[in-house]
Amino acid sequence: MQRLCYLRPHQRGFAVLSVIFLVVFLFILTQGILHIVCQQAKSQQEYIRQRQIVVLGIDLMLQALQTKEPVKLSSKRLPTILLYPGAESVVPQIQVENCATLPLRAVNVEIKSKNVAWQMQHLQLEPPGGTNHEIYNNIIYSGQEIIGNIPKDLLPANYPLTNIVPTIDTKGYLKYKSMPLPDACALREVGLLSRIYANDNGVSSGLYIIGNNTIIKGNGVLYSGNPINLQKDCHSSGKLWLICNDKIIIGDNVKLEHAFLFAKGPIYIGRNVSICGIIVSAGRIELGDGFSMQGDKSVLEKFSTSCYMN
Amino acid sequence: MTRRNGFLLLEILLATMFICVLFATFYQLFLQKIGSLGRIYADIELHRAARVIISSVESELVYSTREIVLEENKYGSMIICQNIGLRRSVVFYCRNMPNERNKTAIYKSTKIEDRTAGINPLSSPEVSIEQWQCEKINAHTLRLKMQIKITTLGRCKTFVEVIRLCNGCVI
Repeated sequence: MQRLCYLRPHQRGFAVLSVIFLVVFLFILTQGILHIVCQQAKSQQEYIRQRQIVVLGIDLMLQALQTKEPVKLSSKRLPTILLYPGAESVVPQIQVENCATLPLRAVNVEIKSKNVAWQMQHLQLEPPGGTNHEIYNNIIYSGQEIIGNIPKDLLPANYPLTNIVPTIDTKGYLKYKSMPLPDACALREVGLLSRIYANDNGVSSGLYIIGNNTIIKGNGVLYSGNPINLQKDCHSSGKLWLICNDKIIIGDNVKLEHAFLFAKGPIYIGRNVSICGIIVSAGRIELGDGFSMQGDKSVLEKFSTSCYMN
Repeated sequence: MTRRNGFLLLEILLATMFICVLFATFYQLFLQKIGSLGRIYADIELHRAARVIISSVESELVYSTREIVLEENKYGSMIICQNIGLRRSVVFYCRNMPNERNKTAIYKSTKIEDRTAGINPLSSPEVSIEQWQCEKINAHTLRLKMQIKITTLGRCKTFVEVIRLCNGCVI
């Protein structure tokens, strides 16, 4: 104790300071750990709530699609549901859209919560004008003329018919597109995903080209306001709808196994082309040598898109 | 000056003694806390690993899969998914890690037609998958059960999820 007399005033409390430093260090460490635990707990809670929303949305969508009388399905706002944990309330909603000009029906399930809006869509669409439209009584139909060798049994009844194609709306598909028109890479790597692909006024506008030797797998609807060019040696095996507000050009040696071609402009078909399906054009149709066609009205059946998140 | 230096040494010794006394007093409590923190860390890691695996499997199965085939291998189930796009198929399976024989991990193998498959692990090296079972409940519903273990701490947890398919079915 005698030694403490020699201590300068600022050196007093050194031992206490050391202890305080230790306590502060431990406190900061504990706070840091608590912060990490809280963050993780929040993430886990958010994950649990998200999963509940997804499960609820999927169940509602599947229930809506499995309804025995889907025609009567109408838009509904369901009661508020409390999610665990956090008692966050969500309001599920089923919206059924029927397009006035297009034979199309869209079922949307939407769940809005405080932070996110979850939306899922399913579309059912018929060919332009509807499956039962009179032009679809023909395997190949042209509003003007068909140039080239065509077997007589494929010629439209009362050929040439009056030009009724331009009155049919096709532009409405643009509103319901789920993706832009796929490029060769997307077609090669994934294929068509049972969705509506359409161009817009952005990057994908202009002539839509499907390059040489492209193998198109899967089902899909490709809509373009501009010309579509399917270059030579392309092959499609799935249900493919090519709907175009302009002309369609099919290259040599193209083989389309289950296709529906609809153009407001002319359709030019190259040599040795084989098509199984239906061809409709408001303009003329030019057929190359070696063209073969087989009628397949099953391509006109309702096209159901896959359910996808918006 | 000599006296003052000696005093500083004494102060340091005193401080060290205080700290030792404090540690000795709260040793058991401290050990308990360290143990709890370890368990908390392990639980966080287990949940995080489960979230990553389930999110990846679920997003593939629910929206992008047209057809699912379930097969078994030595380590559990193999979930073989045929994509809606037809050119792409994905397989989720469990097997041991290449450099660590005792650890198993979940892998996602993505195959695009005419190309070799790309394989990526879904679980981190810190965890080992003890159980990976997927069973069919009905044509559109699967039950996924997995047990994950933190290899360093030995803590283990089982996660069970029911997955409904939107665009596909189970063969």
